[in-house]
Amino acid sequence: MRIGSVIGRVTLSERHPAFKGERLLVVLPWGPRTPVTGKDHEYSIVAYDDLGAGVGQDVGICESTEATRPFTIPTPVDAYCAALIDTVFYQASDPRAV
Amino acid sequence: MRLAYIRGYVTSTVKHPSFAGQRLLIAQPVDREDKPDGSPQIVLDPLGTALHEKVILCSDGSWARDYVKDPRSPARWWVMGIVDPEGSVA
Repeated sequence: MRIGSVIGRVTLSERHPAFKGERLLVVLPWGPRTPVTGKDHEYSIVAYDDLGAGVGQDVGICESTEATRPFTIPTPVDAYCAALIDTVFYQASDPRAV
Repeated sequence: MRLAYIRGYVTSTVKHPSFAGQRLLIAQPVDREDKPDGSPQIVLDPLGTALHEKVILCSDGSWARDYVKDPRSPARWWVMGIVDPEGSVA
């Protein structure tokens, strides 16, 4: 699961029949420097969401084939919003290291 | 499987039900020079890993689903092993 910041939503009317009432988020996944600098994100992705994430929120995005696991019918998804993140604790390096 | 350092954790109230009660650690994968390489990952922690420990991450979603006891879980990355600290092995 990668951490990403929600920056927008996608709506569409023509789509695969497996999709019904879904929300699609535009998400900027964090890169290795993002927790420190607040920028340097990876390329944006579109993620399926059924938790109700809003713009500006941080989310956990499950990718690859595991993204399809929560669905009961075969659904073409490769990014699934699996967690709305409340707090992030991050230390870039070990303060005890010599 | 990838080498990574545990650099933190996240908390989440609204999440996929299969993550209930799990520690969600942030692991930063590293390259062969121990430099950060790629996005930090949120990982499951079956071993009880400490902050800043070097670990091996495994992306076997099948075992992750077994571990959280939910065949519909989107879980994928988990801590497979804790690397011995440098100098601890003769």
